[in-house]
Amino acid sequence: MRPTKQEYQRVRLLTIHIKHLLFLGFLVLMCFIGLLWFFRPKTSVVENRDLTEFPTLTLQGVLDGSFFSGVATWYADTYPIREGLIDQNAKLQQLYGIRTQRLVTNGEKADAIPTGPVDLEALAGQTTEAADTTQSTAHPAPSDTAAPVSVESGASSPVTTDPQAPETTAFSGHGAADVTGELEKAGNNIYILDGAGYGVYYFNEKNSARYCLLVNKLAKNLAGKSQLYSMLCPISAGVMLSDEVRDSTGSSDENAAAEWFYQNMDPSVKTVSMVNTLRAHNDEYIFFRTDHHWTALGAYYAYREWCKVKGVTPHELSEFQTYEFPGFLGTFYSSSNKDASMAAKPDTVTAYIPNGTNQMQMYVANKDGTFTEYAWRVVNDVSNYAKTQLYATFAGGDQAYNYVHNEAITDGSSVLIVKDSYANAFIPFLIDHYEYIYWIDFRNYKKWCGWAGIADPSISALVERKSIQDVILCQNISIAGSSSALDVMEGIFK
Amino acid sequence: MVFSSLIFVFLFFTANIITQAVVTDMRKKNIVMLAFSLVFYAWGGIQYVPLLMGMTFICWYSALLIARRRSQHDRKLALITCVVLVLLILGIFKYTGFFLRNVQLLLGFPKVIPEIMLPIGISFYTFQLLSYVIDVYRGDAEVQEKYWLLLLYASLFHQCVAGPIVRYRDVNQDILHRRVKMTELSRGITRFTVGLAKKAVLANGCAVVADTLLAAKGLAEQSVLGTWVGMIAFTLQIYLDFSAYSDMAIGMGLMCGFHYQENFNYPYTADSVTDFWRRWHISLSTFFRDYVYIPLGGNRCSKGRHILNLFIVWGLTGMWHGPSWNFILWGLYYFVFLVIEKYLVDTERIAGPLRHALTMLIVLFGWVLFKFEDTALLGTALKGMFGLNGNSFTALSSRLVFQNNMFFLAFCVVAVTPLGKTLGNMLKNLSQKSTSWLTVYGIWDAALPILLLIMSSMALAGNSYNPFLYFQF
Repeated sequence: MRPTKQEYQRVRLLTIHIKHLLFLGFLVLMCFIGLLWFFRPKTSVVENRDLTEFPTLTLQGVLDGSFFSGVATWYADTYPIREGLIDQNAKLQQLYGIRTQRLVTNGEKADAIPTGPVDLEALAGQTTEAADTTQSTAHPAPSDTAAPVSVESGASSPVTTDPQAPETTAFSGHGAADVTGELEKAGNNIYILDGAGYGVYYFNEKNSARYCLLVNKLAKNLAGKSQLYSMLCPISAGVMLSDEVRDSTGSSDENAAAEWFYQNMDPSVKTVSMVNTLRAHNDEYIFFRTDHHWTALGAYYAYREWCKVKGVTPHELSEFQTYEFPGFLGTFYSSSNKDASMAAKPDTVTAYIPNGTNQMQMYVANKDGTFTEYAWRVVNDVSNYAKTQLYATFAGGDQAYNYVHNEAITDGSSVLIVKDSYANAFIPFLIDHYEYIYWIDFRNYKKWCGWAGIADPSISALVERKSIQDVILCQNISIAGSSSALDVMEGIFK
Repeated sequence: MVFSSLIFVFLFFTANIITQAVVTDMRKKNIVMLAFSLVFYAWGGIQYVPLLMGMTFICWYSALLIARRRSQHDRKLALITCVVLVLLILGIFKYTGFFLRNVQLLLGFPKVIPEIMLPIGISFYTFQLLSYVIDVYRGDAEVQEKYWLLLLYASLFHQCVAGPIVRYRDVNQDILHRRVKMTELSRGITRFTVGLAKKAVLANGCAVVADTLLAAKGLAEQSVLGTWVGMIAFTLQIYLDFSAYSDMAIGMGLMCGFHYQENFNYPYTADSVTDFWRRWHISLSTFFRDYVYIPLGGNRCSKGRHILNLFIVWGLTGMWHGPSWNFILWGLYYFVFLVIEKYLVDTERIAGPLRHALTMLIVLFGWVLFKFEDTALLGTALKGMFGLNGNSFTALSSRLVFQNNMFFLAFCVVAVTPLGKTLGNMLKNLSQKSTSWLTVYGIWDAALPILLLIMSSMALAGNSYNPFLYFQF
């Protein structure tokens, strides 16, 4: 029925009024939500980072506008319902195209892997003098007595906290992880296929040569004191994908790369090849779909390879009690901007509890630069943790300095694991092979030394202080080619 | 502050429209508007506020002299002094580095080139102020006796930093006696939210695609398809981005009684280069037409002189976009095509669809020139588009970027055409014919802005990625 002119105008006027009210009402509502400063989050669990803080007021900042742009970023980053809005946006973006396959990278390209040993210094672009200067700083090994606080005290001071105490969840992932997050290279380049992420690896010739130089320098400094092992852990593309698919993602052949690293290491370094073994098991659940790490099962196969090199008998999986944490949505989930196909098929974290002891000590970084020592568990119950943080069950997460005294063994044997987060799933298997097990996260160990008053943060100084017999470098192959990670390693690999 | 940010929409702008509605006295309304505009401008750094105020002062005082002096000589002197002074200031801030870099390249000195920061929006407000002084001189605009009202014109946050370049004579009446009509408020709301969503959802989405495929790091290895899809996404992005800002400016203006001219008229539907420039950044083209091209003699002169006039205008248009050779090249690229269309090829004789396709191809290659300030990268991109970098036609990475965004890009292609507007008008016409259509139209009209606001908030919340291409100009 055709509306009369009057009727038309009446309805239009009513509509326009409703439209104005809705629009203004929505603006005022969102403005009000924005003003609820006490609801503003400080951290994002999903993104595993501290949100932007309100900027400090400086004259320079006001003059050049950086203070105001900081305020705008803070306002958006900590907007009370931000995460909900982002979730909805991720759902909307599923409609942008066919998204069963994606490649999320930072534009890196792989170098060709050279064959055989090379002139590392020429490749790394380093002069001999530069290498020598860094070496010379390794000499003095001051004693622990200079330390203002008594740390590194072995099992003598069981400090603080029941592992189940709720406040300890403060470092269940966030806070501790943000120290190391920016150096966690393996999570940056991802190929996603049907709800599963694959860490893509780009071999970098220059940086890889630099890594070998660092390892060789360390081997030299440890000669006669302790045995050095190198375990370069593959990331998932090189293990889980067929050669053809892996090549199409631009990812390098991780076996060829690992073997190149090993060929260029000092002959005194015992190297653990594991890529082909893991590939042989790639029909099993050895890498997470939503996270860049391997599963404990993947780490277990690597552990068996290490046992071969070390010449000890590995324990069978059936010998361990297990924990299971379902619903895990890891780093790939957040770095893919909450890929909906991942959310539909979350991971389960299975953890194997060491038999000798599950007790450990660790130092957790506080925001003010200090550290607190905690009595913790090598495999911890993380069923109350956020679904993005379940990998934190292993070895206390990524803390600077950790140790275990396994009283089930009394031969005085000792090991130091120099690690990134890949080693976390590996460490529980190692506990049953030594009496003293130390592990340091290379990314924040130097900082911890600074706090603990240890003047020489080198690995060799630690080995000397603790009379450590074996040193295992357990790092993922991607981090061994990252220049920012290498800068950090430079400070302790001596 | 950028329009497409949560703090702008939900704090600054919300406070602004509420105060504009609550304050009824025109003088107070203008004081409040000026305060908001200065805060908005200062947000980019307080250090640039004196510059804006100073340039406004020069133009205000010159216009007063022009209006008050009887002698033509004095009036002309005041005008020339003002124009030279203002252009000099613009030149110092915008082109010193560029000029010295080129001198250094040719002569080897100076050794050190000073880093001069470009004040936000200087290219836009300088042109606005110039148009005011020239219009007063020509008798096309009334002189503004009050400095602060001219400052309001120059700093008005709707258009101060990103256009459109509003003429004083077009908004003089609105500054002095604006009234908000219900229907205009309604249109303004729709226009603003369409602009916001166009920027936050569409332009930023295209930017992600373009930046992934055209990243400097992997450009030499990019597949042919990847480079093309990247450039198409950039072509979509630059229009959606820039026109979104004009939409928001026009919409916000309508919401508080200002009427700004349209700045775009679906430029990607153009069927010739001449037509494209009638539809693209209209306020800039008309500025050059009225204040440079016509005074130089326009086309009412010899063929040689006409070509020279076109050369000057397009050289300047290129330069206005940025202190870099690629922008000048981009301007002159259009000069060449405009001369071809004027004197060599009768475009009317080419079939419609082909004419349109050719125009779009010319525009697309124009954007390649525009995008890459680094000449080496520009060469790599152009070679890449013709498969001369030795890369395959397609690769998994570029195929996936395309596949992951194909519906989105298709939507953006539709969004740059008048289809949405046509459908809206059809619905409006139908609503006059039946009560059920009237209800549908009412629901659509009232719900659309909220839907767009929600979608924009969703996109902006997680969007650290939010560049505005035209800020640098």
